[in-house]
Amino acid sequence: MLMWPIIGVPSNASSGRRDASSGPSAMRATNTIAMPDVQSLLKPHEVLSVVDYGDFYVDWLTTELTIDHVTDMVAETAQTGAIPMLVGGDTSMLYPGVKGVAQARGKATFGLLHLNAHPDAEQFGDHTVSDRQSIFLLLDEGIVNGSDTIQVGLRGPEVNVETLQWLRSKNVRYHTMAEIQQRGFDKVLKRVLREVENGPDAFFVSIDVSVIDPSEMVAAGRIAPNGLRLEQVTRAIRHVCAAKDIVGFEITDMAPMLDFSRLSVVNANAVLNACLVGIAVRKSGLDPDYVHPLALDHGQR
Amino acid sequence: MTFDSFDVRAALLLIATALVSVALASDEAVETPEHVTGEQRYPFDSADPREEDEEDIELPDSVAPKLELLTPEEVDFLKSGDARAFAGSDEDTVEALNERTPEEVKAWVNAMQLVVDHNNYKEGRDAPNIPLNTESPNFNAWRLQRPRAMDPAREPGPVPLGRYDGYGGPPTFGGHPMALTKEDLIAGEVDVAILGAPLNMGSGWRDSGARATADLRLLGWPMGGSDQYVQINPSEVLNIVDYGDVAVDNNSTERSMRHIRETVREIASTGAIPMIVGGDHSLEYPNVAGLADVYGKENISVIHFDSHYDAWWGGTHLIGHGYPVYRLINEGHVRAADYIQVGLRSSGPDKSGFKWMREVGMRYHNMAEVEARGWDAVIDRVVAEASEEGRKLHISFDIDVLDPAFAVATGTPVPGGLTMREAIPIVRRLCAESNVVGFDLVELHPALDPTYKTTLNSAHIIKACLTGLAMNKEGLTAKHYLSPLSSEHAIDDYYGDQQKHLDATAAEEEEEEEDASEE
Repeated sequence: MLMWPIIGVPSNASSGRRDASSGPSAMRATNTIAMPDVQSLLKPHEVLSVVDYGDFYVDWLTTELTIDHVTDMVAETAQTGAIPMLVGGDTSMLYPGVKGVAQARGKATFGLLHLNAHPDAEQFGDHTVSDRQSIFLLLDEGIVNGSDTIQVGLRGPEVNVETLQWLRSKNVRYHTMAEIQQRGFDKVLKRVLREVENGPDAFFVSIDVSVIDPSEMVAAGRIAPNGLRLEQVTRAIRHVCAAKDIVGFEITDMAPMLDFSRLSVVNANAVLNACLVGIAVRKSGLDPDYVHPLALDHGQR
Repeated sequence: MTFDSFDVRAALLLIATALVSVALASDEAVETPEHVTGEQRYPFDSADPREEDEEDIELPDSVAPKLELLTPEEVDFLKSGDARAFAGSDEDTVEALNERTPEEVKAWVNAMQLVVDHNNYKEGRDAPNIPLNTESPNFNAWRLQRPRAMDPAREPGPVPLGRYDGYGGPPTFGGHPMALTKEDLIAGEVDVAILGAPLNMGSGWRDSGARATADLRLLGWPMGGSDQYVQINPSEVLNIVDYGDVAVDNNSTERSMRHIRETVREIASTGAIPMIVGGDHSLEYPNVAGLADVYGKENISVIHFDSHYDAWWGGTHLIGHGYPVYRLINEGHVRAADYIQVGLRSSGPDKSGFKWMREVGMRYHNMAEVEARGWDAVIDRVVAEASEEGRKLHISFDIDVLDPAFAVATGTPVPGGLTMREAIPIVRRLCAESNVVGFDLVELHPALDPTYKTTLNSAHIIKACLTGLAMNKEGLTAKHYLSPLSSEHAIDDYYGDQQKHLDATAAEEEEEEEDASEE
C-alpha cells in the first residue's frame, strides 16, 4: 500500500525570524492534521495510509552539515515508493527535500509548484546553501527544470529586476502578487492550474508559509504583508494535489513562538491537510474540484 | 556552483575588490587564530580533560570460549573503554558475553565497532570544515564596512541622534549618543561603548539576534537616567555611547567570531569598556578574547552569571552557546582559576564537571550554595573574590541566571533563579567595587515575552552596571555603598543609626559644595 509519511525536518536557520525548528512539534501537538474535508466529505486518514515518520536529524549550527543527511533520508524514504510529506524547518530544507526525491525518481522528472513570498533564487551567496538559495540551487543543478517550476505569491524584498530576469531566463512560471492584484486571484489560479495541467505528470508541491497573509500566518519566519488568504492557498494546493501525481510535499518556515494564539499552527496544519485531501480525492477517482452534493446543498424545498 | 549572470558577477567583484582593501583594513593579526573555516585546522588540543582515561574492561577466563571467533583487534576493542559505553559496567559486559553465542559475540563486537567508527570523524568520508562558497563575489559583504572616504564629512566624536536630549530621533541604547568608529571613541573620551551583537545561533529557542538589540533600543530607556539607590546619574559621570550593532553571519557562529572579537578589541584599545548586548552566549568567547588581545592573555578574570556552566566540550562544533568558557580556558585567554561562576542550577554538569572545576581552581557559586548559605553570604563572597587585588574583570551576564518569573524570554530558561532584587545589587556592586573592563548581557529573546518584561529587566541589569561604573569613577567603592539620604529617612532612630546617616549626608553635601566651588 502506498504510504504517506509525514516527516519533521526541524532546521532553524531562517534568514528571517527564527523558531521554525519548533514547527514539526507544534503541528503534531496541535493535532488538526487529516481532518475530514467538508467539500468532498472524505476523511484523508480513511483513504490514505498516513504515518508520522518522526524527524530527520539536523545539525543545529550549520545548514551545510545538515543537507547531505536530509537528502539521503528523503531519498531512502522515496525509494520505498512512499511520498514524503515534509514539515520544516526553514526553507533551506526545500533543497534537500526536492533533491532527495529526485535521487529516487530521477532528475527533472517532475514539476515544482512553489508558493512563497520570496523567490529564494539568490545567486551569489557566500554560503553554499540557505533558504534564500534553495530555488537557485535546484534549478542550477538541474534537479528540476525551470520550465517545470511554478512560483506563486512573490512579493518579498528579494523580488527585484535581476531576480525576475533570471527566473524568466530559466523559463520559470512566476506569479507575483502584482499579477494577482492586477488580474484577480481566480484568473491567476486558473492560469497556474493550466500550467500545472500542461506540465509533467508528477509534481512536488512546496509552500513557504510566508505566502499566506500575516493576518492568518503571523508566525512566518520571513513575514511579508499583503499575501494570499489561507482559503486561496488551500484551494490551490488541494486542486494540484488532486490533479497530479504528487511525489513530495513540503511546508516550511512556520515559527510557532511568533504567534502566541497558535492560530498559525492550526493554519499550517490546514495547508498540509489540503494536500492530503487532494490526494484522497484523486485516489477516490473524483474530479479535483469535486463537491459532495450533500455538502453543496441542503436539498430542502 | 555556476553563475549565469557573468556581467553582474564581474561588476560586483570589481566593487567588492575596490572596497575590500579599505573596508576590511581594520583586521589586525592576533596571536591566536580563531577559526577554522576553509582548510585550516583548529590549532589547539581539543581533547576533553574531564573524560578520565578509562581502564580496560577486565574479562574473566570463563568468557574465553565466547571470544574464540574474535580477532586480536576485536578482543582489544571489547576490552576498551569504547565498548563500555554500550554494555555499561564490567559486570554488564561479562553478562552480555555470557548471554551470547560466539557468533553473536562477533556480530555484537562488529556492530559496536561500526557505531564507533561512524561516530568519529574519518578523513575522506567526512567534511572536516563547513564548506563556504569561496567564489562568491559577496563573500565578505556581511562584515564589509563603508570606507571612511564614503562617509559624509564630519568631525569624529559621539553624535546625539535626537532632536532633543536623548529623544526625538532613532532609538539608541538608553538614549545615549551614537558612535561608529574608533576615532569617535577617542575624540569623545568614551568610557563605555554599548555594542549590539545580534547573533542568534545558540540553541534553545532562537530569535534573539536583531530583535534583541532592536528591542533594547526601543524599550531600553532604563539604561539612561538616574539611580535612586546611590543617587548617581551614570550619564553625567561617564561618557556612554551606543556603538551600533556588529555584523554577524547568522548562518555561522564560527564565522562571526573573528569580526566580533576585532570590534571588541577596537573598543577596548581606546580604554573604553565594551558592553556587549546579545545575542547568544557564544559571544562570551570573542568578547573576552578581544579583551585579552588588549590587556594580555591570562590578565582577565571572568565572572559568568548563568544557570549553565557553558564549559561543554567535545561537540562537532568548536563554538556554540554551550562552549565559550571551555574555549577561553583551552586557548589560554583566561586561566581557569580566574573564572568565577554564579547561579548554576541546570541539569548539568555532573560530578566530573564539578570535580574538573574544583581541580583547576574555578570558583563556582551554584544555587545549591545559595540554598545552603543564603544570598547575602554568597553575594559578599562573590564580590570579595571578584575584587581581589589585580583582577581585571569581565562580567558575562546570561539572563537565564534570573528566575523565569523575571526573564521568561530566554533560550534555555531554568526555574529557581535570581530575583531582580538579588541581581541588581550584585551587578551594581561588582561594577563599583571591582575593576571591570568588560560586560556582556546575552540570551535575550524578546519574541518569547509579549509583555516586554524581560527586555525591561535586561535594560535594568545593564543600568545597574552603568551605575556601578559611575560609582567606581566617583570613588564610591566602599563595600555595598548606598546613598545615606535615599536609603534612610533618618527622621527617627528606629534602627539605632540615625546619626550615622545624618552625618554621612552632611559630609557628602559638604564634598559636593567643595567640588562646586573648585569648578
